[in-house]
Amino acid sequence: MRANVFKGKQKVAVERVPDPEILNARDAIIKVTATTICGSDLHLYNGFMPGMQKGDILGHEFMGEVVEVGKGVKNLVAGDRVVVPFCIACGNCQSCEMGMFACCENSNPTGWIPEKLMGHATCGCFGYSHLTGGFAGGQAEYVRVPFADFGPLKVDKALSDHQVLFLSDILPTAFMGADFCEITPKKVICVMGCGPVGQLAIASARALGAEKIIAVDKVPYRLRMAVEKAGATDVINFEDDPLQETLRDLTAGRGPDAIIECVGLEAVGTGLQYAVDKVKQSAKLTMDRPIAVRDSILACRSGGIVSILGVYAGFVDKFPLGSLMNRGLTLRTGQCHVHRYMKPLLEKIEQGVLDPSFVVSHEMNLDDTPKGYDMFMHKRDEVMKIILRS
Amino acid sequence: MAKHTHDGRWIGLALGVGGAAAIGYVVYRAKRGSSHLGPVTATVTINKPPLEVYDRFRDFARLPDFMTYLASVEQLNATTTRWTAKPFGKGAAVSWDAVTLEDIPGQLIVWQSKPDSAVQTRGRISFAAAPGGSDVTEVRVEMQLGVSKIPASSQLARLFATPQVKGDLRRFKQVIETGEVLRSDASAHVAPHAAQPSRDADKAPPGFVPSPPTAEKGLGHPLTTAIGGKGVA
Repeated sequence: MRANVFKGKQKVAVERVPDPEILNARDAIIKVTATTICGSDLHLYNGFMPGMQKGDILGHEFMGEVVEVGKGVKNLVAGDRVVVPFCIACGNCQSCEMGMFACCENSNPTGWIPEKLMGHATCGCFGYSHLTGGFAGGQAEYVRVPFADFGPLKVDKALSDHQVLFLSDILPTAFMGADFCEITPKKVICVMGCGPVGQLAIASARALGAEKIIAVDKVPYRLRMAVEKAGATDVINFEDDPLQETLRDLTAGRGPDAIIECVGLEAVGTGLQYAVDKVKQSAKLTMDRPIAVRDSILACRSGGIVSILGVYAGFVDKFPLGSLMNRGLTLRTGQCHVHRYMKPLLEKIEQGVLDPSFVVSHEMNLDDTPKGYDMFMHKRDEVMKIILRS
Repeated sequence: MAKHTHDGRWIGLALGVGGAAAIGYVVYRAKRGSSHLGPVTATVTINKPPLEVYDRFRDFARLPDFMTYLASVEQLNATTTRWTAKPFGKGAAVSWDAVTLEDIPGQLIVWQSKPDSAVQTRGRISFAAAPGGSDVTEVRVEMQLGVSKIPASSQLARLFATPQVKGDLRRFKQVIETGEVLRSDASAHVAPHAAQPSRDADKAPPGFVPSPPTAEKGLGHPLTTAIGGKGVA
C-alpha cells in the first residue's frame, strides 16, 4: 500500500510499504477513505517530539471502511463505515473505566519510554512516535486498528466525511477544552490560537452557550474565519495589539473567565522572552515553548480556568506558578478522551447543533501529502484543514 | 542440564540466564544465610479481583504468554516445576527446577530453585486488594536470580532483570485485562523498527513479544554484543 512516512526533520514521503495485518484478536483493518494533517503532526514534522524513527507512518485522524476484523471483534463487519479515535484505549483498565481513555494503561506497548520522561506511561496513539506505542498511522491506504471492538464509531452514510471525520480528534479535543470551562452565558471565553482546534473550540464554546468569545491569533484569515464561521465575537491580533492589555480592555479589567489554549509547544510570540525560548528550544535546552500557556495564565481572571489543549512534550521554565497559585486559577488539560465525546458529539452533528466541516480548506490526494505538510506549516493559500484521500 | 557443562560454558550460561533475566536474584546471598529478597522488585495494579489474578498466574504452564523469555513451564509434581528459558542467540535452552514453598490462593506464591540447579532463583509474588476493599489487585514481585558458581551474576541479573520483570508484569496486566499482549508495528520486532507493517520475513514468531529495546531489554542482548555474540554452545 501507499503511506506517508517520516523521513527526518521537515521531510515526509509517500512510499510503498507492506499492507497491515491483524496482529491481535481485537484488531480490525480499515481502508482509509479520508484522513487529514493535524497541527500536532507538525510537531513531529518539525522534529520537536522525541521518539521518531525513519519510516514511521504518520497520521492519527482518519475514517474508513472496515475490511477485516480479528476473531475478538463482534461489533464490526466488513463494509462498516467508521471514524477511529486517535488515542487507542482498551476499555478494560481502571483509567478507561473512569472515562480517562487517553490514559489507557494497556494500549502502549512501549509505555516504558514515556514512563521515563513523564513518570507514568501514556496511552498508545496512531502515527505519533514511539513514545505512544509505535503504531502505524492513518495517512495510508490501510491501517490496523487495535481494540477495534471498543474504539471505532460507526457512522451513517447520510453524514458527509467532512462532517464526521473530525470526530476522530480535533472536534472532541476542542469540545473537551470548552467542556473544561464550565461555560455559562455570563462567562467570557478566550481561545488562544485559531488553527483548526481553536476554530472548533470557539464553535464548541458557542454550542455550550457562551455569548462572548475572544479569539487570539496573528494570522488575519484565521481570525476572519473565527468570526465569520466559528462564532467569535471579538478578535485580537497579538502582532497588532498588546495581548494582555487588550484582553483586560475587552473584559473591563477582569480578564476572561476561562481561556482555552490551542497552541502547543511551537508557540510564537513577540518580544525578548519569545526570542530566548526559541534559542533554548533549538539548542535542545528545553523541549517546549510555553508562551501561550504563560499568556493564558497571566490573562485569566482570578479564580478562572485555564484549559490547555496544545501539545507539550517535556519540561518548561518561566512558568508563572506564582500567578497561578496566588490567584487561585484552575488548570485543566489532557490528551482528549475521544471515546467519551464521540457519541454525544455525533448526536450534536446529527441535530445540526455543531458542524465542524467549515474548517476544511483543501482536498488532496494521498500522494500529495508532503506538499500538504509544507503548505500547512507555512500557512499558504489560507490553509486551515487539509483532507487527504487515496 | 547446565551443571554438566564445562567451565567455559558458564559465561554463556550466565548470559543465557541474563537474556532470560528475571525470575529471581541470587543464590549468593542465600548461601550466606540471608533471607533478604530483592533487589529485583516490580509492581503493577490490575483491574480484577485478587483471586482471579492469582489464578491466572498460578496457571504456570501459561506464564510464557507474557513472560517472554520463557519457552515452557511444566508442573512435575504438586510442588515442583521445571522452567525452561528460550534459547538465547545460538545458545541452547536453559532449564531449572523450582519448588513452590508457599501457595496461598488469592494472596501469595513463594518459590525457590532446587539447590543443585544451575540457575538459582527465589522469589515471591503477592496479590492484595487495593485500598477500600476494591476489586482491584496490587501485585508485587520480589526476586533474586543468579547462576551458581558465578557470584557476580546476581549483580548482572539485578541490572537487567528489573526492566524485564516490569515488562512481564505490564504484559501480565494486558493479558488479564484485555485478553492478550498488545502488539504494535514497532513492538513486534526485537530491534528498534519503524512504525509500519513488517514484511513477513522479519516478523517475530506468533505470540512472541520481545522485550522492548535498549533500556528495558532483557539481560543478554547488550552483554552478548559486548563479548562478541557468544551464547551457550
